[in-house]
Amino acid sequence: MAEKEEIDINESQAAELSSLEKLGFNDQAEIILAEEETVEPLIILQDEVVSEEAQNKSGKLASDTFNEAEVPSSLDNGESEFLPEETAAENSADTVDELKDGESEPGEFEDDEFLGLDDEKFEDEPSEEQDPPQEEVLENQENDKSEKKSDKDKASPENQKDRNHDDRPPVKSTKKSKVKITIAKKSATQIIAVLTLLLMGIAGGVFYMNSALPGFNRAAHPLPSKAAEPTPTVQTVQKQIETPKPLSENERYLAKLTDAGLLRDELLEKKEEIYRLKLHYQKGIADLEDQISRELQKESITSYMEALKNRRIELNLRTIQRRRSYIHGLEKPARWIKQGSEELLYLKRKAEFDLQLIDIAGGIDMDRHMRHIGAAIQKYRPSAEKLAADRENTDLPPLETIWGKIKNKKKKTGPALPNVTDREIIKEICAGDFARTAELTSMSAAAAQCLSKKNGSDLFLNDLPALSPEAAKHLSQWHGSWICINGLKELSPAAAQYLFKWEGNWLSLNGLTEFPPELATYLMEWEGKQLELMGLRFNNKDADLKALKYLALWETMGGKLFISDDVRKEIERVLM
Amino acid sequence: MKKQMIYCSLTALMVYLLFCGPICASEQKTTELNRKMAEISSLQEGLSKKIELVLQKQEQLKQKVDELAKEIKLEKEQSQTESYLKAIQNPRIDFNLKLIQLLFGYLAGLTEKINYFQNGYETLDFFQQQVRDDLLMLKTLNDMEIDQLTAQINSVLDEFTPELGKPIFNTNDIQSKDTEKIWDEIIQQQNAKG
Repeated sequence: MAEKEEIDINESQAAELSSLEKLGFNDQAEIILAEEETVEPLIILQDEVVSEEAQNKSGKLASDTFNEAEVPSSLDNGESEFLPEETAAENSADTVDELKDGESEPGEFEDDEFLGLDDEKFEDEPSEEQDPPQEEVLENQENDKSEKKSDKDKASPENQKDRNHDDRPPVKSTKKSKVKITIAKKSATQIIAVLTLLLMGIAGGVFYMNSALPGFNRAAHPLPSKAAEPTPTVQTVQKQIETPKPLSENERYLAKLTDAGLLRDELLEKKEEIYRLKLHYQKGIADLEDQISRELQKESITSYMEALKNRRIELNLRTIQRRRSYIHGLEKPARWIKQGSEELLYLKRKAEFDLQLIDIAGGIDMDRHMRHIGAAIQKYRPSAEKLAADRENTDLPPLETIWGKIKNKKKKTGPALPNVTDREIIKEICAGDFARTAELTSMSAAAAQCLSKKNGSDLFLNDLPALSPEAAKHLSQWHGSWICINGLKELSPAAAQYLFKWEGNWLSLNGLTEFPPELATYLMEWEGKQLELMGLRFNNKDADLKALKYLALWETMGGKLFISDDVRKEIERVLM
Repeated sequence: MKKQMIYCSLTALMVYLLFCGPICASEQKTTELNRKMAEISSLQEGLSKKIELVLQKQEQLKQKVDELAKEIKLEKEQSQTESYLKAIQNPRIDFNLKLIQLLFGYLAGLTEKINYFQNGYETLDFFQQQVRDDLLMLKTLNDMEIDQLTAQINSVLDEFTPELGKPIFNTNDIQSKDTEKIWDEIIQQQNAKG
């Protein structure tokens, strides 16, 4: 009997477990559901066991025979559990009648178990005082275990009832056999319950030990703990990433110096931006001035009052006025940036010098350096506030002044002084940036000196209209192979004297229309290989003839002359 | 018979002490001098390394001074400034002059120390020579007064050995040259070359 029960329970348990495995529950809610399901088959199982016992009554124990009489009540009881309370109450009367009419007597139901099992059928209120059915107790116990809910309030009265019920003296039965049957029934139920609990425990143990069982392992963990589990791992990884090795002192200093360098680069970039913006405004002003000049010519405007009557001229003048104020306003941030970049450079260099000596000199306080650099970084980090244009000290130039300048500009015919662009380019060149060398329209001696340090093989200065002897002197120091000054219209002998001392190979002077003999004499000293004079014209003058002879002579000395066909023919004619 | 034996032994001992005593003392002195030689060599090696390091640093700093001076000259050319007061309005010139001032101070500190170490090295050379000479004397004469020499050597060792572990100079103790003088020197240099 016991074996049979065990087998059945095992099978049902296995079925439940397999269903759990298949489901692969992931959260607590699902677990609860699953565990609730596990209880129901047990009740049915118990009923089935009882039914089997009833079926196998022939040739069995006396207790088994009694079970046969108890099966209906047990079955009723089991069914009633699945019915709503009201339905159970309605049915209770019939059941009582049936019981009364049948072989059962009231005294028979005074037994603990029977009372407990059938109480619900008879009356609602008394049923609360009576013991709940064994299955219910089991179910509650299982539910309590699995759900871990706060059902204690409900459970405790029931337990209390259990206890009260246990304390009550057993009802004396008139029939000995019935007592036996009751005891047998009680023991069978208890055995089932104990075995079920045992199996559940074993199964739980097995699954606990074998956590690799699919689905179950995940489901076995309560949701909060499951959710909490991976978090520390992630946090650990994050911590590993976020907490790099602490920097050494030297590395810390170098990092700070790098920061300073980066900020300085940023400032220089901003300076360049400001410079480009100024250039943009200057170019715009120049365009507007040209427009005004054309308008003045077109409309034959001579006076300021007349000019103001022309709406286009007036607006252009106002735009020039505004742009000039903008250019002026940019001076302040440009100065601030320059100061910042220079200060950062100074502090960085100072710290670097001390860092260089830190291993041999005492009294070096690198932290002080770092503090100073840090303060400078804070101070000179560009912001809209710090870069704000100087608007307070910007007085708009009167329109009449602008008008006067435009008018006077037309009259100016003198040689152009180094303009703003040239000054900037020269500054760049002297700072080692030769990118805009070709844009130079004038060249001072100092600029040429800076330019002489340029690396590379060629030097294009085609926008240069003139070359001073001083500039030529410095330019001749340049170590390259090709100088191209095709914008040069005229070359003075003094400048030629230095230029032809240059140790390069190729000289392009295609802008020269004349090559006087004074220049040619210096050419004889030049050791270069190619001379381009494609702009040269022959005027059939004595001087020109003399110059041609020199050029021809230079060619015979190994030089290669690039000249127009006309001049070539003249040279050939001279030589013939 | 016993008395004769005792007399003979005492005589032998006296003879031994008479002839071998000075030899033992000579050996001790030789050992002492050799140890001093080793100590001198070790210190000289340390000083030599230190001098080399300081010279290297000195060269680096000189290079930095040249670079800064070159920048000043370039800025001067750009801004066409001749006077010091006008020049220091240019932040690059001003800061570079300050840096050169600092480096001049460092260079002075380094030069002073190089001289000091070289002096120590030469002094040790001198004593090393004397030790060699005294060792030869000891070898020849079996004895010589070396206490004074060892005391002098110890004095030099005591003076220079700790210096190897000390900083070469303290940056707080350096004397700063006037930036205007530095500016004048740079201008003079430029004019001389031009």
